[in-house]
Amino acid sequence: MVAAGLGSILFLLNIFAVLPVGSASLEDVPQRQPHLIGCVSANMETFHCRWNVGTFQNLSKPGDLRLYFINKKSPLAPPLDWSECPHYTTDRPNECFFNETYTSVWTYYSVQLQSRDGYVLYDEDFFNVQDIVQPDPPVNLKWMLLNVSVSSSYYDIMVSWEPPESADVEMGWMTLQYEVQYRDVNAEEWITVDLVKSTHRSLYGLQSNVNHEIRVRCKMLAGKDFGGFGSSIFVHIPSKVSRFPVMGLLIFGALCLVAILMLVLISQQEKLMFLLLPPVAGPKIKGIDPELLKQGKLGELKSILGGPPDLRPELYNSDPWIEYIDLDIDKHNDRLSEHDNNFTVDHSVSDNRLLGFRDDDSGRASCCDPDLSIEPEVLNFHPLVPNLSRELYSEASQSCLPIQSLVTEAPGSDEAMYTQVSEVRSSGKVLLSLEDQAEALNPSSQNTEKNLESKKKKTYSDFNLDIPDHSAYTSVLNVPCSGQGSQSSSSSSVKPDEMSSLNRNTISASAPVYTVVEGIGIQNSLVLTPNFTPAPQLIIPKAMPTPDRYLTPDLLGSVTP
Amino acid sequence: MNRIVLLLSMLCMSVSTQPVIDQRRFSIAVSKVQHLHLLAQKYFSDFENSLQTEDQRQFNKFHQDFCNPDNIIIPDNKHETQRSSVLNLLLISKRLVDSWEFSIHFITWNLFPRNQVLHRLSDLKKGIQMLIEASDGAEMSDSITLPVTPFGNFYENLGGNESQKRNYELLACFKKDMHKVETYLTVAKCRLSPEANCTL
Repeated sequence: MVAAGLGSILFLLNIFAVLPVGSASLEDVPQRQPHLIGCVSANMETFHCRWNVGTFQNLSKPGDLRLYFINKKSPLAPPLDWSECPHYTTDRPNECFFNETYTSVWTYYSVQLQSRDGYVLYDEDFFNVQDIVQPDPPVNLKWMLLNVSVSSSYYDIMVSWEPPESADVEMGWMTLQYEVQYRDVNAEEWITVDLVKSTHRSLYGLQSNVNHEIRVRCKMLAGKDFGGFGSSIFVHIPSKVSRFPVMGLLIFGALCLVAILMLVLISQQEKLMFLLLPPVAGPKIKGIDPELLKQGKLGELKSILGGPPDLRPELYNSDPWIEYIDLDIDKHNDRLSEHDNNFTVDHSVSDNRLLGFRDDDSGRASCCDPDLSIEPEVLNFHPLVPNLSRELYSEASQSCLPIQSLVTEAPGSDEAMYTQVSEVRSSGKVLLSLEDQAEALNPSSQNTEKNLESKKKKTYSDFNLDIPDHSAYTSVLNVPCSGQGSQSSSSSSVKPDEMSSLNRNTISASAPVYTVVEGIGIQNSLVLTPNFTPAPQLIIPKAMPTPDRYLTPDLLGSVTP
Repeated sequence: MNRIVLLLSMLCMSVSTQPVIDQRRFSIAVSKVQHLHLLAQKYFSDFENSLQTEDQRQFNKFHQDFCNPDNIIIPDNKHETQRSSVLNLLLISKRLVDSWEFSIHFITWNLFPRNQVLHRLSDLKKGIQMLIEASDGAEMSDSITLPVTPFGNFYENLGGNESQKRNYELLACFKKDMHKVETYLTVAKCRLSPEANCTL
């Protein structure tokens, strides 16, 4: 039951599907009566109307169909009868041509397609001539190359044409607008360019090695329909294939330049840094090693700066007299030269020792303190003399060359040796402060007094300014020599009265008094400068900064005389 | 003798400069009327598309030439236009613009920019008037300035379909007359100065 119903439904569906087809097959060639295709004017002077006979092939003979028209030029004109086509075109069938006589623009036209006997109206149309204008295609289409891209893969051209002669643009009868279309010949779709009123148009970015087809058509300004396209032109520009890839060469050259620049920069890095960022000169004080500051040994720095400015030989490193002793003994020139070298060597060594000086007195250093045995200025002097004594001693022991001979020039010379007089005894003995080496070199001459006085293993030497006890003298200037004998310099000795004055000046204060040792007198006595103004006492204020702090210039001024 | 020569030279100069001024004025007038023509074509097309297909066919069928009911004969083909003088073409153009300054008010379609069109029409009329005066036709223009008789049922308050039909006809006529003025002015311009490059 259900199956039967389904089957009937299907049958009906099939019938309905077939029926339209069937009807289509019956009307495969649709029965179409004759009809007007359209009326067209090319120049607004003439026009033609065309029709189609449709399926009524029996009416294809001329005269079977007739065209009638009415042209109402003015509403006030009398009503006109229908007129038949003035001229049936002979070139082609089913066309009626209206020449200039029968053509008026801006007027009403009514056209009818009738049967021969006029009883059957097949089709009709109404129009104004200016509305049915389809201009002829432009003529004389040509192109001109504008430019080519650098890579020669694209180019620009200018397309130009002339208006159709029928439009009579020169007279101004018709104003036209043009439309350009172009495409790749292998492509289906055309590219349409915007309407232009001029007779030329630029096309940009056309690809090289591609065959392009270009065509143009036109229509009336504000018109409805375009005319037909003119004959197309073909444009083909091959791209230039250069033997040398210019771009590749350019890129390669640029890369090489960059690489060379990088090499130069890396190799001359230091120089460039010096040029661009010149080093700023740091502060430099003569005699002070920046390394000392870096190591943080401010104590040494303070003591270096804390001494009297006059007796800071380390600041006068360039002063030659400290380094060199000008000796005027010809027969000992060779030896002197050796000693000179020794001096310089020792001086350099002494400088190092000087720089490595440690101030262990915790800021209690004062000129009054006898414990202050090692002063920079003394150090500077001492190394000379002890070393001298050391060297000369070794020499003199061999040759009994007294040191005094070395210092014979002392009285007459401007150069003098400095030392610190630590104490002047009432007995006339002048205690000088010496280095350890002096003691070490002359162990025999160690004085018990010195041992008692020295707290820090410093040795003192007693200088007997009076009639000397040879054996008791140990000084840097005192070189015991058995064979010395009567050898004596013309050096003068300190007179007792000078000594007393010296005593007065120095012993009362019990502070070291600075004087200039002119030389060694007879019997190894020190010859001091009599009129030397003793150096003022070095008063170190209690407010002296700790060794760890820098001694500022203002403090320096307070501690200096 | 010297005075005569001087006078002649001044006359020649004034005459020679005249076409140059007219050419520029003509170009300006032609561009103005072309713009008006494009506007008319656009609004007519918009109105036509807003109608139903059946109405379009009906209106087109009964579209009679009653746009300018004047008795003035105007050239309606190329031959007659070529025969008409520049002054005549200018006068006819001015006449047409005048009539539409009056008739434009009867277009009741709400999308039609009446004020803008009126402004352009009056501007065009001034330009044509200047050209007429330059062609020594000032006295003739007055004679043609007859009152425009409205056609048909302008003053009737039509409704519905009739109103639509009237708008259709008015817009079609407006477009047609603007095309006429454009053609006449272009022909006059190209005739006055052949070197004006009318082939552009």
